[in-house]
Amino acid sequence: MEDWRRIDIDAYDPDRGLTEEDLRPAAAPVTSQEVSTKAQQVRTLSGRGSFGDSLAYALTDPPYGADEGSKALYLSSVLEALQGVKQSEIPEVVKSLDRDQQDALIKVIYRGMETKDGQKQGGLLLSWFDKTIEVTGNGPIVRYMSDKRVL
Amino acid sequence: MSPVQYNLITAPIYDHFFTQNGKLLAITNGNNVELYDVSGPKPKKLTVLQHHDKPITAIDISADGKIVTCSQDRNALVWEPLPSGEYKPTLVLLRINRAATCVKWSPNGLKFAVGSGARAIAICYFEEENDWWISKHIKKPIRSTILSVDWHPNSVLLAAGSADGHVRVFSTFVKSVDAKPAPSVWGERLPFQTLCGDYLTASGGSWIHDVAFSPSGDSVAFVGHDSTFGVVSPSDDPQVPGEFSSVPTNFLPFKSILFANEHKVIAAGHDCHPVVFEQTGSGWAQTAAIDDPKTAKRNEVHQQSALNMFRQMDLKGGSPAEGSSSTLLTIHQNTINKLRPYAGTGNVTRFSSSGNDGKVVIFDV
Repeated sequence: MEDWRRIDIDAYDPDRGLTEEDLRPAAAPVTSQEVSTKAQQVRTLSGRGSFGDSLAYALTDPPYGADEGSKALYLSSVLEALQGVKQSEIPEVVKSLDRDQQDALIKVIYRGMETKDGQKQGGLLLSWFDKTIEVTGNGPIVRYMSDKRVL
Repeated sequence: MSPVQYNLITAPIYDHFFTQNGKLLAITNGNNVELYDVSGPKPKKLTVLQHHDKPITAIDISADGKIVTCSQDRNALVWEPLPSGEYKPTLVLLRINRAATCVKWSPNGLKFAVGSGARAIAICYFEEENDWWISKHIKKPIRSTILSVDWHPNSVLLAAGSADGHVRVFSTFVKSVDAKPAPSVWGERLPFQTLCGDYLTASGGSWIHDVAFSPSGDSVAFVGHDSTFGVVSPSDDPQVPGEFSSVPTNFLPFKSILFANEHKVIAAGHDCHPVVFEQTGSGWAQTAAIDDPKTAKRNEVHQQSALNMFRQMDLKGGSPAEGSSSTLLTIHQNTINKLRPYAGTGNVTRFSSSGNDGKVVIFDV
């Protein structure tokens, strides 16, 4: 028994293992219809130039329970709103959001960094990230990492 | 009073305690427990409890002076003090196949609970007939490692925080040991392994690093890896929903909590200094910080010697930036692992902390 550490002892445990379903939180399902309405509303608000309102609206109850396609649609609408805000106004916009919205903002920024569209705006996302964390502290990063509800 | 600090070892201290009169300090150091006499100006090492063969993860002392240790070697030991000042270890077979992570004596000192990575809590009690410690398992519905346990004042109910994100309250009623407990907000009939409460935060559950019953036992506070502090209090009326409040903070996650009194909790962890949460009219909120780095002055900057500068250059490959230093502004230089009450009954006025920096510090609330 040289490599006894490699034996999968859990295989002998009758009630072994967590399935992915066990770890997934019960996020309320959101239909693609609802998400596209939300994205549309975000775009309308951004179109009027009130990016702060647009972000506050977008980051309230983010569609955690939606399918991947709808999430991409939602994400692109939020990214557009992020682009609209002037660099110098970012701290004020962040301060006007409540704590849950700030947490959601960090999640959107991280998610944006994973996508092709977001990577084209790398500098923008980084500066949003930087300025958000300056306002909020480390809490939203920790919550992004530990939260099982993903965008 | 300014905080008292003991620099004891150069390894992490996972757990510590002072004995009732504050003269004796016990800390974990790798596979051993070290006992220090701290009545003099300098801590003096008295004895080393040596029997585990993997690092000790938690220690606790009962009201009658028995020490219990649990370790990654999957065992727990009960150390009984002998008149000579030595301690006699007794092995407790926990029957778990993963490391033991936390241990707590029940307030009456008749039982202790050991949390483990085997998705089980072992409730251990002494059986006179066999002259042997027995362990009974609580397994359902735990889905992951138990990271923390805490006892209700009635020594029957046990709160457990788990890596699956749940805070649970179990009954540990053992017929031969316990008298029937008085009904409480947690329930009336309580056979062994009854699940009296099960709470999950909205985020789907991050690791629950620590749980604590309030002094009255009517609510449970917890801290999670998502930097939140939460309190649950069920109501005795089944028609009225209980209270569940969770306070997200902008600190790094907390590792340990301590009720100073029914309305005040001290928490500490990866931010290396304790903070205070208080219950106000509108719920729980963070109200103060102890040893706050924001108000601390960095006074060693001016004393930076040439030697120190070259050492920094050697270690970090560059000269240190103006005003920066390798030390933190807090007393603890690394994560705080454990808080324990030090003085004050009913209302804790001083408490002690131990951390990964090998320090034990006594703070004022």
